[in-house]
Amino acid sequence: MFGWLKKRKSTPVEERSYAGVYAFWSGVLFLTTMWAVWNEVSTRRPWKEYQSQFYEMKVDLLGKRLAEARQGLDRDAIKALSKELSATKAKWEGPEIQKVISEEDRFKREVIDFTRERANAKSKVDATNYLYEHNTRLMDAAEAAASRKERTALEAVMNAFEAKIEDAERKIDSVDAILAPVSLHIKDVQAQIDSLSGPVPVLEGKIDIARTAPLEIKQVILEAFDRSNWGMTKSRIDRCQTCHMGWNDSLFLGVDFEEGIISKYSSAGAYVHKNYGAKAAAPVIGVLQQALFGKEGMALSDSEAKSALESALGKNKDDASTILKKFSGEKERLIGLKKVFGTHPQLDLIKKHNPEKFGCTSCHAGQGMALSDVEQAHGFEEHWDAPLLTSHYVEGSCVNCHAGRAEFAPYAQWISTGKKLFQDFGCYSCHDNVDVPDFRTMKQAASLRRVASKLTPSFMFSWIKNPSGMNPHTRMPNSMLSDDQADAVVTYLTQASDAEGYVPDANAPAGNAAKGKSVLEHVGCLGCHGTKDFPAAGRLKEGNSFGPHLSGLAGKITRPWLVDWLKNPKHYSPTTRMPSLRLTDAEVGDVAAYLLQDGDQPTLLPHEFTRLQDKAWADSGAKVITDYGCYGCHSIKGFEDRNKLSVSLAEFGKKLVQQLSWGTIPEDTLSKVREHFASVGLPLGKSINAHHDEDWYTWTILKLKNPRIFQTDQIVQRMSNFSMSDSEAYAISVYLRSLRKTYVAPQFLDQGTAVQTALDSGRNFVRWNNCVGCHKVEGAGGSVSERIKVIENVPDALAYSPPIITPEGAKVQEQWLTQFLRSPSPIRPWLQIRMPTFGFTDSMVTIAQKYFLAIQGQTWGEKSYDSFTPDPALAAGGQILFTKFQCIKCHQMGAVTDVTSLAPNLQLARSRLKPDWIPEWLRDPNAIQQGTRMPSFFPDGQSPAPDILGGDSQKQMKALRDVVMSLGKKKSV
Amino acid sequence: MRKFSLLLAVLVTGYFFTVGCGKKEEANNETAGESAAVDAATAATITGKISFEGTAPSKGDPVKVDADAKCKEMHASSPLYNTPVCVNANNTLKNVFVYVKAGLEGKKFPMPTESVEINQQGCEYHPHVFGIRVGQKLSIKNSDATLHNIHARGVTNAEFNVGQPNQNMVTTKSFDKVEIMVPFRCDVHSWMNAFAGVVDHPYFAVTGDDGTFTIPNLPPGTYTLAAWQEKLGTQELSVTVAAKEKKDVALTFKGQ
Repeated sequence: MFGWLKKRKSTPVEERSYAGVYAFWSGVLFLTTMWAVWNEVSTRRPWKEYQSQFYEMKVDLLGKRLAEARQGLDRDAIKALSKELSATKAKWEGPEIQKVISEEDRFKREVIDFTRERANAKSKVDATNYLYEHNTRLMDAAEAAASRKERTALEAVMNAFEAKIEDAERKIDSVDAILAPVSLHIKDVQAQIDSLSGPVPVLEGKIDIARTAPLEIKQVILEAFDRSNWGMTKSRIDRCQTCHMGWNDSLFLGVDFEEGIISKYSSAGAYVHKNYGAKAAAPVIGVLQQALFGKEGMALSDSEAKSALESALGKNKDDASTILKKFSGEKERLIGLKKVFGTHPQLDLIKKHNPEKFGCTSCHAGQGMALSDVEQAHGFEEHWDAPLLTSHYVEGSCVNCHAGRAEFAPYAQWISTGKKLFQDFGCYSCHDNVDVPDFRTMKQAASLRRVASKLTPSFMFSWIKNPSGMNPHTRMPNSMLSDDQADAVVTYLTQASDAEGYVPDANAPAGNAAKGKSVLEHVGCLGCHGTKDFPAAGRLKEGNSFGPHLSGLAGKITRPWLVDWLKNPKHYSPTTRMPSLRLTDAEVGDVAAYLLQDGDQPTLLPHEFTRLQDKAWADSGAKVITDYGCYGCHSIKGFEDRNKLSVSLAEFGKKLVQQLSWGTIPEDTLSKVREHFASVGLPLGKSINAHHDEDWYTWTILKLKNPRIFQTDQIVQRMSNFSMSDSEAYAISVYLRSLRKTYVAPQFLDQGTAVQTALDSGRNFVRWNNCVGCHKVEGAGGSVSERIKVIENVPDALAYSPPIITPEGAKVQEQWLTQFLRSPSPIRPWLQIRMPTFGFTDSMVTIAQKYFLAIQGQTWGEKSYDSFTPDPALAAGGQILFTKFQCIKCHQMGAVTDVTSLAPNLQLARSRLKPDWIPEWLRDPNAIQQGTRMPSFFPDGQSPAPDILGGDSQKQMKALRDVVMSLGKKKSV
Repeated sequence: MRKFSLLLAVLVTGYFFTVGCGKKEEANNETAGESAAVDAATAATITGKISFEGTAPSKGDPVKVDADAKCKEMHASSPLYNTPVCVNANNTLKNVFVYVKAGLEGKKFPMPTESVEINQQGCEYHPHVFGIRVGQKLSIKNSDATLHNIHARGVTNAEFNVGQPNQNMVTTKSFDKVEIMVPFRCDVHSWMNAFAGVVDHPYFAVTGDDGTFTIPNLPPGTYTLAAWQEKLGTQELSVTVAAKEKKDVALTFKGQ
């Protein structure tokens, strides 16, 4: 076997042949090169496959449009015109015209030649002219005469050329007269064909482009977008559009596209096309399309799909199950294809965040550069820290650039809700977090400094043990304290509270419960509180779930406390958000009677207090309060200036799975959580499963739903249970995922303008004080009017509701608003609901002022409207209009005797309204204040008084404004 | 002379207020506009009567109209009553809006050129209930020498609210969507209200003093007929009419 080797060894080195060795290795080298090229071109370029698929689909979709466009064409007319066009073109190409054209060319050349010759001649004329003038000055008459003669001769030459040019141009004109009609006719016929063809040529062009488009990487470079681990800036490169090519192509949206996917890329589609032909296939494919993608998001269930398919198939209905069987195995792949090529689902959002500028990974994350593999491109690999954010978790990225925004609706509902829940559940009270508005440093829940005067120890005990069992609306979590722990806490609170020496002002007549109900329902309590008749919905601190639910109070609170509270909430708790509704003592008595009426007793747990006076026992209660962080949400005597109890969440969103403690939780619990959330339509984000089913999303959801689930005998956990619903936990998890402190280069950040800041703090302000419980502002809020509709039994509840305050900044004078916010006085005599006295601080009033001005595009500053002077030219007309329109029929002035008079006192206008506002208001009141009783006197800009001020409605509105602004005396504010 | 006729009008109006439920209205039985699409040779007619069962509600105290001197003057001797359920002498209901609710889908009917008129007279709306076609002109007149505002509070149609300070002033409006019913009110005089049924075909009627209605010129077919009363709600009835058939139907509302 190795004989040849032996033989070779025995051959002298000089005589050995290397040809075979060289041939072998060249072969290996050749094959390796071939493989490298193959691998480079094909295997490692899966995107090429996507691009060709994309262009194929594009050609199909354009083809469909083209066929439609061609259908409506007037073919005969186009044919006739085309015939004429080719005839005319043939004529143009014919010997007759061509001869004329060549003549024209010759004449044109002649013009050029003669022009050159004339220029030569002219320079010679100029030269001899110089000699003539020069010699004349030198008094050399003979030379001068000779030069002059020569000049004249040369001038004749020049003029001869001039004449020749003119002659040639004349000839060109005459030739043009033959050519122009023909060429114009060609253009004209072409234009007619174009207009008759409509979009056909454009579509044909697009199809050509799509057919011949080169396959190439499409990338966006974000200069200096990122920062490396060493703090150096680096650019980010996103190549997502290499595969996701249809993101802004409207062809890849809608039914045609979806049906195209099924027809082209599913075996069920191919089967239907093959067996039934294109025409009969269309309705069947339509059913499959709806079964998979749905109409308006509603996909068909399997049984629905089957019956729909049977009716589409008609006599071949037995085929339905065959088709569905083929189809069921391919669904996921087809949905995937739609995701790859489909248009971005929120195109209006995309308009504001152009991917050509901001890339894709800035919101979606993923490994933007990777192209070699789908999973890698989306960042689903073990060592890539920013995998694609799937499901609603992508909303967390808004925060990266728009930190501090109060609201991300309507584009990002989940993070908006999650952020609100995070605030309303008081999460920030225990967890440090950078993203909390200023006044959130105030305590979220009721003050407990003087709680012993409000609640009995037995109530406190039962409440602490099981808050949501006693009031399903509460946001108070369950700290799962033992009986002894709860007893100790109550003991501490009672002793600390007694030391405060607070004495409630219990002075109010014993009231009438029925009257009290009426007062409560009319004065505005229902703006913030739910009652048995008007139960609150949801646990966000909004609308009537803002304040505590007013049920079960009889066995809960004491009458003296309630009376004092209703009279002046700030007496008991100076920091409370509960405003004063300026109730009279009689009203207070009635409301207290209603709220404390019998039959509303909560069920208390049986418990005996034996150590309420025991100081040492109180100290152990303080230890429990420290351990469980009650002081985070409640103000408690002795717990001032405590630090936040728990860990910071500022970068929680980027915690790795290895950084989370999983305790002893069984594996199958993890997968069940995922399955459950997917089944209720709240899919958790996708992770790669490095360790079984452990990932950030599952951990967070489990923790929120059951805060002590990861507890072990080594690790004590004390987080309280908020009894979160699935959607509450999901929304908060979306928000938590956003807490990543992601670095974004300054040029990409939302730098925030003064206006945006004013809007954001204003939105936080109106939410913090629940202004939106009663008022509609910026299109939201004002839900109290739904309750007013029931209580007043009026069809036009809006007219009985607090006003829409969106226009406030343009409407009222700044000084007046400051005064009104500090100490409100009634404007609308027919309203029973009252603007409460909130006791706003100066800084809060300023926030409100800036907010209302910002909504209206105005800026904050000291302004005075005292200098307003009426236009004398309008005065007489104004008076006539004021009488004619019978303004005072509704706008009673002076003391209001009859509340059915239904309109604000016009004497208030002078110190309340901005002069520019009144004509705006008169133009179309209903457009500004929906449901207002104020009619428009100028419908469609037409005045009913054509004889006054020339019938000019603009002038008339100003004239009326002048009258109104002159009424009454300037009130000092 | 003008003063005298006004006085006369007031007296006559007053008479009807005290014996009936309001001035006799021209019963709005005409189908607005002829339909070219309907073959006259086969057209059918539905007639009917809306009865009332139970005790007619008492008309209560007269409306307080003192707030407006003009209204007070006009009703000095003829108090105004608010009668949302208006029972005729023959135990039938007045002011019930009857219309074809379903069965005409997809059909188009020519639009009448004449407009529907609503008049504010004697601080009341005349008529109190009426029908109008989508797109048909509504001419709103103020015959009183006082300010009225007509506030249409449609839900599907846009709300409008127009002040009419001049006597005999006319404003024209129209509705662009079907709506049963668009309520009207005058915010100056809180007792004034009216209702418009906006439909997209000519098959509607309002019952008058004898509680009857006629819907003529219908293409043969099966229809859902609906009757709306402002207090007692809506009743529906399926009616099939053959070519040239004249069908009589009866509906009864029970008192509350």
